[in-house]
Amino acid sequence: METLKDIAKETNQPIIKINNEDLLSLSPYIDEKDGDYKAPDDWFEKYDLSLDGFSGFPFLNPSEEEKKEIVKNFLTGIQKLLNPESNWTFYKPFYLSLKNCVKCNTCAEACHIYIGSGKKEIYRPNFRSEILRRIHNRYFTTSGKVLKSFVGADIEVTYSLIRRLLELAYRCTLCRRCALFCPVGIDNGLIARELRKLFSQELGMAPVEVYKKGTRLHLQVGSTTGMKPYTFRDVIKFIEEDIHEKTGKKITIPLDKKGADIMLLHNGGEYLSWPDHIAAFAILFDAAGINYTLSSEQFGYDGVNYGAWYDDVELARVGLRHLQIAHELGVKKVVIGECGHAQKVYTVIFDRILPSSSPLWNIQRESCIPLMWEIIKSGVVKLDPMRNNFPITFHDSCNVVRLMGIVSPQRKIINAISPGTFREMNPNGAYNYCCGGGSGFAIIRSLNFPVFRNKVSIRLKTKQILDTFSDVLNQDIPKLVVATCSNCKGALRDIIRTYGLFEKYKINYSGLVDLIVNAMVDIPPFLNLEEMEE
Amino acid sequence: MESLLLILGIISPIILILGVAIKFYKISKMPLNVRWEIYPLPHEKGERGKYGGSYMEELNWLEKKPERYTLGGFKELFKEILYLHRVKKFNPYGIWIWSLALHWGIWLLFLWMAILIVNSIFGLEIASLLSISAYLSYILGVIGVVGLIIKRVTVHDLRIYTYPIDYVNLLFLLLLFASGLLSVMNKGGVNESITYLEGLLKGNIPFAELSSMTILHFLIFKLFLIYIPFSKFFHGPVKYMTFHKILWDDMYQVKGSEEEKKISEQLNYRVRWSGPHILSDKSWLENAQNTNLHDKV
Repeated sequence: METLKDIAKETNQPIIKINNEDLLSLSPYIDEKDGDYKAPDDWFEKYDLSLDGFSGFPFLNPSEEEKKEIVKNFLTGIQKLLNPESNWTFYKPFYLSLKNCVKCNTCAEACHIYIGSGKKEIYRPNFRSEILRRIHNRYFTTSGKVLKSFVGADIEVTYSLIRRLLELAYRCTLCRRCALFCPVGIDNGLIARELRKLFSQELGMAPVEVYKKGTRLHLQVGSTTGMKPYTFRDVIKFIEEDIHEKTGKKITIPLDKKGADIMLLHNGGEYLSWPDHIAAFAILFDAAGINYTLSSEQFGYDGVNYGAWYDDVELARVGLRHLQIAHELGVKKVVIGECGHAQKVYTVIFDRILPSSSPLWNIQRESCIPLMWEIIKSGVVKLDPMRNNFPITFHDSCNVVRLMGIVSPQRKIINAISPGTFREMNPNGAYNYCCGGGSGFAIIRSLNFPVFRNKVSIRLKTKQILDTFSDVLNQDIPKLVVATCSNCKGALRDIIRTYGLFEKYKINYSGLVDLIVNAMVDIPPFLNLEEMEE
Repeated sequence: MESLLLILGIISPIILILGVAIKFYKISKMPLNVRWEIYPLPHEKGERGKYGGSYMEELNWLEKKPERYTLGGFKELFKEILYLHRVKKFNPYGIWIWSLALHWGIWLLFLWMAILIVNSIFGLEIASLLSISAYLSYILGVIGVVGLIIKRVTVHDLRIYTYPIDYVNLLFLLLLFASGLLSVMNKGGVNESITYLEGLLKGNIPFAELSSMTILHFLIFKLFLIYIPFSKFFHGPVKYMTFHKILWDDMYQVKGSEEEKKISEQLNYRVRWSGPHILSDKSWLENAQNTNLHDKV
């Protein structure tokens, strides 16, 4: 790319091409024989693939009149991002990040997508920020209006540009590793989120999976999975029966128990995709005598908050309802299960969405990880580390480590429940790489977005996992990647399936609580690492 | 002209201080943003500070007062200011050494000016002894600026992000350091700078005794001071805000605090956005409470 202005090119052809030979190499672990991917020809006419040949937005191209309206509304949206009232939530960090970047590009190699793509310019963390910065300079500053390209005010807003920016806002997983690298404290991850917000809150544009089938569905029926309360109760019964069948234990999972110490809030997707994970929590908490409850109230059983990825209004609506349910149950504390973004939303972001005078704010909100470590540390549950005698690595959820500072307890847990078989990825902890499925990537399935995710976004994590197990890469020993986040597990599932890591190297994945329960001496082993789930 | 230079000498530091102060005041008056910290935090004590842990690693953290290592934040900031350690560690374009030279050129220039002021006010005659800071400042500054210009011109990944004004800013710095270097290499050496500052503080600069290069150097320095708050050079001071007030701000709300008051006020702001799921004329609180809302259209 010779100039940043290419983003506004009037063509329906992609401004960059993703060729296999440019991508981060997975050799010698994976032999990629597939040819370069190209979307079906008719898609180029029907949809807009003009950024990079991929799209997560299956809407048809608008009329010329509609395009003019979109341009107008986009510019109005920028004004609203820069209005302290309409954007009080992030106005300060956004304004400072927009105004003070010195374009040293120190952030470049922080990004797993930029590296995974073979360093394609458009995925550089600063690229989309710089486009927005130049638009802002051009339309909203006096110096830009007068001096134009001399002060970097050289990008005209057109529909083509806006359409590419919409896609580009979803080529960043908001892991904010780039912000950690920046010497000035500029937050390009935040700018990507602000762009997503502008598109959603002003233009009503967001991926169908996070808006229509995400927060809208959540607010309408109670869960992003579409699960209604009666289905939820059925699922719980099924899980109880399953626990009995597998372990011989008759456990009643507490529902709607007023005055319990804890309301446990799981990612709703776990109930349908990984019910064993819910079972593991039930087994552990029962064994530890934790006074907790789940809520079967509409909304109370799905702790996700997709608003965190794209829309402040939806974020507030979803979060408020969760806390109202906890308040009605009279619990002291909401403990968020193994879901990275939900842990961050309720502990960090919601600290300032409500005033501390509100009774809802006064319900304590914590991650489940310190509680699990407390259980292990107390010795109340008898564990045999030899049950976990296989190579284990841990994938850090960006939300949990870099954005919440919970780094140590999960490592203490794994070390306590395995016989020295834990190995760290490099880098790890607060400096980890995103799994590639963050901020909705793992659930967006429209058009060929999953191809982008699997070819580019999860690529670096794939390499990292393989590097970590490089001395035991064979079919003889099962190997486990543990993660404390549903989205991350979704990405790990994609990694293992896309690159055949189970068939080739017997690499599997699980949640942390699953690994703990696998070590419990009074029940049979919980994990089955000899099989990969369908 | 001479009066103008004298007036500039007096008002340029005032404009710098006022400019930075007003900008900081404006930033501090911006709404309280939601928490958006990023770990590791330098004010975390002990091991946690190193590996990036937080008080949220403990149970019942809301009932405990987090322990703080107050100096940590300033230590980290100085590490960045004096060593540019993030640029050193992460920048892939080899700009660290040039950037470090340029920044040290600036710090030493400020030090040199401070030495000249102290020298003049107290009549200490230390300036000549400490003139090494001037030579170092100018040499490092020139090397740093030239290196950065070359990098920005020759490295594609930097060039396409660089505006013409960025080159002007670098050339302006080059003029500042080069004029300083030429001025101290004059026959009068650093004595001319000492004479200039003494004259400035007395309100009577003896221009006839000074070389045009010394006069030019001080003029550019004054313009530099004025320019800092209104240009990209503000990226230095603004770090206090981006780091201390945003990325390192992990303190939870306390009942009865100023934060609580601000959040209550902010919840009453009008939302204004026009998306199909938003009630534009209602407040943030009203929008948040409206959980049964379906799309307007």
